Amino acid sequence: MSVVERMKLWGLKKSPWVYHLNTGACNNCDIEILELLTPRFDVERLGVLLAPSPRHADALLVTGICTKQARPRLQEIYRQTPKPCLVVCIGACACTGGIFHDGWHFDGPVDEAIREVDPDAMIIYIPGCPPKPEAMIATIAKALGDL
Amino acid sequence: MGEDLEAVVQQLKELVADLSVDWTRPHPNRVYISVEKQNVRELGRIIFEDFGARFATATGSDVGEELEVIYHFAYDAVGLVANMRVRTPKGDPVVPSVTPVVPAAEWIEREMNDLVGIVFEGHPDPRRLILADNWPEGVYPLRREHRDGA
Ligand code: SF4
Repeated sequence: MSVVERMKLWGLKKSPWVYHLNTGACNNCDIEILELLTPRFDVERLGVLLAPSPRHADALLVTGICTKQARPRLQEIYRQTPKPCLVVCIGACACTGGIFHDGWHFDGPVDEAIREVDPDAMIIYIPGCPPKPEAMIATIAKALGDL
Repeated sequence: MGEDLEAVVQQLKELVADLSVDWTRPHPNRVYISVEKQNVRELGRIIFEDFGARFATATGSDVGEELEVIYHFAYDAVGLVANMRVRTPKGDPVVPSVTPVVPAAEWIEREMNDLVGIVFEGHPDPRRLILADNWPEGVYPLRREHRDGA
């Protein structure tokens, strides 16, 4: 690993800026993400900052099944992120398609859509419907520790 | 003083009496008013404007040989829900739009057009609403044929 790559990884682990992306969620997972950002869980105290643009993001928080309409947009947003970029599939829907896996609008799951763009993408999964904010914090902390 | 449910129902019944409707009241707080296609817009206007009910939403469904649209109107002062029902054969999936008299019906009619393939004649803006841009024309995901993979 080059020095630049090591610095980028250090930056990501030190303070991951996250971009929240709903690719067809029922909104419940999104509400739980909001819980993370607001005072009760306040992940900003751990260095996690909500980024207003995918071009500033170290991690994508993706919720929802990947719908036919969302798939190309998800892929484009992933392309726009600086690498390395961690993709966090939040909820059963994003992980596998969940209860919508045989829906007519389903075109996922999220990891397939991302791997089509970047076969080596770093993808982590937080199952649950929706997952608890504690589970999200624990999973992301574990993933960052493993990087 | 609050309004009386029976009086309100009676008032609605009188308002719609001029149109040939099929009136049923399966529950004290619920009336079904089935109507022929050509009277849909007029009945919608009567329930919305003359009677003064709030338009809640509408539902479209595939009931086998026919397609059915149900417009749900709520009269909150007494908790009454009035459902205007209209059916059309699948071979002729066209019903008059009520959007010209009930503006809030605009998007739900577009959605029913996308998903069940009901064409609302006289709709001011019948573009695709919720299907993906690359979804094929003429395929309606909530039709029985689609579910059965036929
Ligand atoms: S995993 Fe559950 S809560 Fe999350 S978007 Fe899917 S259905 Fe909604």
